[in-house]
Amino acid sequence: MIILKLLLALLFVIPESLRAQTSPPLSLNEGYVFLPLKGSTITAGYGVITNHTNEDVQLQLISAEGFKAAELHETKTTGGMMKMQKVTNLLIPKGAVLDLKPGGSHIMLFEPNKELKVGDFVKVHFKFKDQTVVLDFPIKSRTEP
Amino acid sequence: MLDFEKTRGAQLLRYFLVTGALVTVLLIGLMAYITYEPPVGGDFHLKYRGEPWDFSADAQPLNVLYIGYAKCPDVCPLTLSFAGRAFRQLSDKELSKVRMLFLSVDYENDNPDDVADYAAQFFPTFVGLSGSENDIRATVSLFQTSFILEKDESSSLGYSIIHPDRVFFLNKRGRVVTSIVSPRTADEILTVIRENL
Repeated sequence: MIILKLLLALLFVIPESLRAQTSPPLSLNEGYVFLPLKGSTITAGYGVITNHTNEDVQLQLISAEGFKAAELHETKTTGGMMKMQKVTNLLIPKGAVLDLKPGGSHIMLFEPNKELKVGDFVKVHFKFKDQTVVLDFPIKSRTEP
Repeated sequence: MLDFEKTRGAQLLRYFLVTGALVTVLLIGLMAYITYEPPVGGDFHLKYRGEPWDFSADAQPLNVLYIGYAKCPDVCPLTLSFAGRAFRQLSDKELSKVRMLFLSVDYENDNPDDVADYAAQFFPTFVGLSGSENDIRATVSLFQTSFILEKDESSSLGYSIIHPDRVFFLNKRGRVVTSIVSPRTADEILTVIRENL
């Protein structure tokens, strides 16, 4: 009887604990990276990243597979002039989202080091605290209708 | 006495009419002086694939100009993609009267062929222009705007360029007829094109 109770407990407890361990701290919605254009070795990635943790997160970008380098950048437009600059991290408050969008904060990707095509995914490695999270950004075309 | 009064009345009327006309002319002149803005733009001379290129040589009734650089990953391709979508909605007749020009101000890093190839991907007739520093600065100042090259050693690119985020619409003489600051849809550009064709 005791063994049966233990088995039943395991059935409910283990999946719960597994879910807690595998639940991602960050998730990506509507993410995409633009296929680099001919004549330019630099492109950008966008999307909505949600912070599922109970803490504010200072998100840092480590790398993007398929590119020589990747950075977080912010574009600001004032008085009809646009300025873009690198930022080392971006804050995502607990339970909130970071909207990486054209004309705002975005991922900047430098010099592809392998052949990329529409439909492939770019694995982008982020860091916050001592964790690393990999998010998959699908590649899409900038110029197709 | 009656004749004198009539004459005096006529003189006064003439006086008021003349004075009124003078004041009106002066006011109109003053208003014109206050509100006058010299035309912005004109003919300009750059390079297309390294060869001399003059605006006036193939000026269209409407010419759309955007100033940026090919290594800009965000706002420049965003605006050009909106322009491309706008052009794809134009009829052949409309397309025969309008052209899109993209000027790269990155005279140190953007190869002329790269700029031309880059622009043509958004729409086949888009013209990607480059030039010497002097030619580029002369052109940019013609449109009463500017750009600033900023070194940024912390970034892999090593620099960034502050540039206008404005689409200029030019007539056949290169004069600015209107402009859009930071267009964020293709329809904004399409509407202005059709209003000015």
